[in-house]
Amino acid sequence: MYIGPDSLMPIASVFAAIAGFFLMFWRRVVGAMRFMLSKFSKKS
Amino acid sequence: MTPATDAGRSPLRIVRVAGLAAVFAGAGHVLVMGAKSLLLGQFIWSSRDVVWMAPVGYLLVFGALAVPLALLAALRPRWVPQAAVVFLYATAAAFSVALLFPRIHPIASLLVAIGIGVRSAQSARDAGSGWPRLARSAGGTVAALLALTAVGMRGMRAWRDDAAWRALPASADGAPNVLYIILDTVRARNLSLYGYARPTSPNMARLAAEGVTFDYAFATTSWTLPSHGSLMTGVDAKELSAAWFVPLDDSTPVLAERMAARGYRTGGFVANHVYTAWESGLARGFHTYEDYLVSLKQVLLSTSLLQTELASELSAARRWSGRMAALRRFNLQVHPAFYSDRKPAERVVDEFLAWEGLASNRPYFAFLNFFDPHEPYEPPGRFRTMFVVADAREIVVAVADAAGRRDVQTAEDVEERGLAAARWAEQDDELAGEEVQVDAA
Repeated sequence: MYIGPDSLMPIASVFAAIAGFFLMFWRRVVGAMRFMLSKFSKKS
Repeated sequence: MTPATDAGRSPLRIVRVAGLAAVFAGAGHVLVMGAKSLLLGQFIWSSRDVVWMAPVGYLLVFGALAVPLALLAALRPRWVPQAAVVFLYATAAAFSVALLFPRIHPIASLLVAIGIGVRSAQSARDAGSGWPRLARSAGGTVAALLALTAVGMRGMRAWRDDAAWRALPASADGAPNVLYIILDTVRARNLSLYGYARPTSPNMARLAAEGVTFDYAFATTSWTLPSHGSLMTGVDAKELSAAWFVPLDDSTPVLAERMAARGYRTGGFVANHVYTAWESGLARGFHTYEDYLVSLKQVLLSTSLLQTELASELSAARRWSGRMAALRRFNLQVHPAFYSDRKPAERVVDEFLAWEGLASNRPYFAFLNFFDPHEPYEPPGRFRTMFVVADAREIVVAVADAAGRRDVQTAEDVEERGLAAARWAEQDDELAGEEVQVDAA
């Protein structure tokens, strides 16, 4: 598979879009991660 | 409702948020441009004064938006909550910087910007977080740093040019002044000097009658940078570093250096910002080099938001249909190379004459680049309809608008041959308007 400058725009854009969604829902993401961590730590 | 929310409804606070956003957007813009130019060696197609022009530009753009918001806040405070104002400006500032990364699609950039806007609004709403105070303090520091950098760079340039001037060796007695004028994009076949039917170059013909005309001279290549590189070095374009995204390197001596070594003071005054400006490599050897204008338009065009295709198409469209077409396309790609405050030949000559008039007992070598005959065609005053009829110009404008471009690039873009002829005449108008300046210089 060829990865060149033309491939970079979609790849960089996908990463940027994911970062944007993370920032938008930051509190929910952090809350969900904390919840999962607490569940995981209780099980172990 | 927190105390911070109440305070945010004050019109003054809205102006302050706008100012902070402008400082951060400007700083981000300068950092990205600095990294591209200094670390990656890329063309940034920006003025050397971008350090202050970009922040001031964002200040004007964001400030313009703040005026109606502040008025609304004064009349209807509840309609303008603080969180919304912070979200709006943080998103705009982040989007402005994100647009400078051409590898990221504008929609993805917008998502990142909205994310930053949401986080900023959440932080601002949280009165106990300390973020508003931190943002104000950081904004003040960044603004001071930008101002110091701008003043320092200007001062350094003036000092360096002055030192180079003072270090010049003595010139030969009776050494003549040398004025090197380039009519960018002009072909010999469109000059009456070379037999063209329309009287496009009467002043050059008059000068030629007193001097020498070269009837068998060719450019080494078809486009600006390597062609100018050959003119300045005497080396064939194929052997120069100059390319589409590569400046002329310093491996070959240039004319200005040679002239300075003979005691000449040297000055360059150029209008082609894309390929003859400070970063093109052509400025080497010149004590003074004037490229981008210092103007309100240039300041505004130093912001990424106004360097988008959308902004350009909206400002260039002269009919409502063109504006609507631009809005439908909503192209947010940024092209800084295409958008700068165009410098007319008259202004180039003014800069040259002001420099030439500086008291000096030395001969000078001056290089003038006129850019007027390059599209888009905007002939000055009485030259507007010297060869083209007004109706034809209207048709050309309509076709350009419909095509969604600032101008039509080639004759093939114009379906009817008559329009191509009108365009040809329009170029001749521009050329005749510029050629007068040869006489002025």
